[in-house]
Amino acid sequence: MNSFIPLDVGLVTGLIYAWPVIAFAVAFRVLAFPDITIEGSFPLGAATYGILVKNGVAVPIAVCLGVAAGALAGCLTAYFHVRFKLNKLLAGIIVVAITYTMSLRIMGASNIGLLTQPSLFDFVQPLNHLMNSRFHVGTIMLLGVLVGAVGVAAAASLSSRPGLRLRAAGANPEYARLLGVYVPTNVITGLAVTNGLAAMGGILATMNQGFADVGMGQGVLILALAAMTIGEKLVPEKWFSYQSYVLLAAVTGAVVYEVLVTYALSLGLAATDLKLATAVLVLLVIALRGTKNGQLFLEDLK
Amino acid sequence: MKNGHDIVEVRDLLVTFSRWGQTVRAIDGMCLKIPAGQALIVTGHNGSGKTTLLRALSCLLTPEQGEVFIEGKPAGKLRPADIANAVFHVHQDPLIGSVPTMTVFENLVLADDEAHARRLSKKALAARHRSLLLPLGLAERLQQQAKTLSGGQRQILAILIASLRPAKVILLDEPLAALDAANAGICLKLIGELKNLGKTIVYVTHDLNRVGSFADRIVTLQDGHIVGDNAANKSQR
Repeated sequence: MNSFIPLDVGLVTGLIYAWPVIAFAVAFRVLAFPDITIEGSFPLGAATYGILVKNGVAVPIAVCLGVAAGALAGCLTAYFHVRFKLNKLLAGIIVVAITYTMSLRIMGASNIGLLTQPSLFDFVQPLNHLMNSRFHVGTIMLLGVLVGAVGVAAAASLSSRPGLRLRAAGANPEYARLLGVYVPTNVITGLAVTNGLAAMGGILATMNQGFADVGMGQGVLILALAAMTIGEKLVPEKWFSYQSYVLLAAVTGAVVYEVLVTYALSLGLAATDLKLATAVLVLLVIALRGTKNGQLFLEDLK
Repeated sequence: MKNGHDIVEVRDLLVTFSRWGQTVRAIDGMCLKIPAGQALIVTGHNGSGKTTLLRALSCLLTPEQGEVFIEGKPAGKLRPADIANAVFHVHQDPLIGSVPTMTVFENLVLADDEAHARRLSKKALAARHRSLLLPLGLAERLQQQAKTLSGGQRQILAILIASLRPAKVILLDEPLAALDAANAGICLKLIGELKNLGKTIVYVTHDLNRVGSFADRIVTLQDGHIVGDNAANKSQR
């Protein structure tokens, strides 16, 4: 087997799944909101986009409405939390349940095929396998540009004054209130944006695989957690501003995680064991992070 | 005591806390008027209601009965932005007085409404904030995250932030409690400057000796009631 194929596949899927990882990391690290809604907004965005494209709606409009559907899910979670003082995790669980039914209702089935429908990747198809390259150069370039653009935009937004207010509302709500920041509005806005990003990931995954499935959100949360943890281990925090570090760690973690998983699968790891392997990987990285230079964990192995 | 108008008024304030079936009256029917520009020291034993009073004044809690009036307006009907423009609260815990994941610069930018209104460039903002930090020994920390500062440095930052706010009333909840003599001296100097700017100061402390230089009036609390209200020079210090 060509040893570059897993790298190619890993890069493509990593750059797609970087979206929900960015969404999770920003919600968790910047807004201090462990938002599990991404597990619902990811397929909801895909379902909305899928049904619209299948019914002849133009791709850009379908993308916008798919993102809006994800943002709505985020708003709902934040609203449940700020209005009813519902625990953050519980609010997320409730909205994931709601979005599962909504995705099924929107699609009218558990799965819709889109192989014959247009997608953003059509534009870069001629660039794929350019000069007999083993990589989907066009797809990787497009995904890289999109992720890069959202990363730069997010870092710039979080450095702006409204972004600082958003960060204050998440990291220190009581202090934010003293500065006149209306915390509930900022939490709702923040989760709307992050879940819109997660939905965009679902839309890109749908375009890439050629179908939308109600179950495609399963495992996104553990993937995001794993990727964020790996990324934060790899990216040196002191070199970047906090917001750039969070974003860069999310993208790096997503790509590294997907490349590792693809190589592991190509080397014989059963797909059924993937979640267990991910959980072990997350625990391993957390254990290494949580001790001085990772020495305690290594000593325990002796 | 200065003869300004009453910038803060507390009328029949009742604040209770319920825990494990028991109700504690933290503030029990309190009335208090604070003239503009006054430096009011609030003292009393632990559990006497000092911190609860400050939290009520900064609208961080809703009283059971009674009302807090800020510049004659009921605090319960003010918008968050109006409250922020009237009152600022510096907590005893230095961790609460800034956003830990933001740099010192970002924290100052967020708090500095005047610079925002003047639309200063990033370079001008950095120069302005560096000049503010220089006499406090924190100029080199401008681009560091607040969480990397020591407790004393974070408290200095919190009081500096208070000085940047447009609020006319500054509430200080034992701000020197966890500080060494050097950092406490810097903070006291900053608080003295706040008073010189004409801000009204409500300062909660157990240590009256430290605040004697700028105190106008001392109120003593016990079990949620005012049991002493004296001009500073007549106080039993």
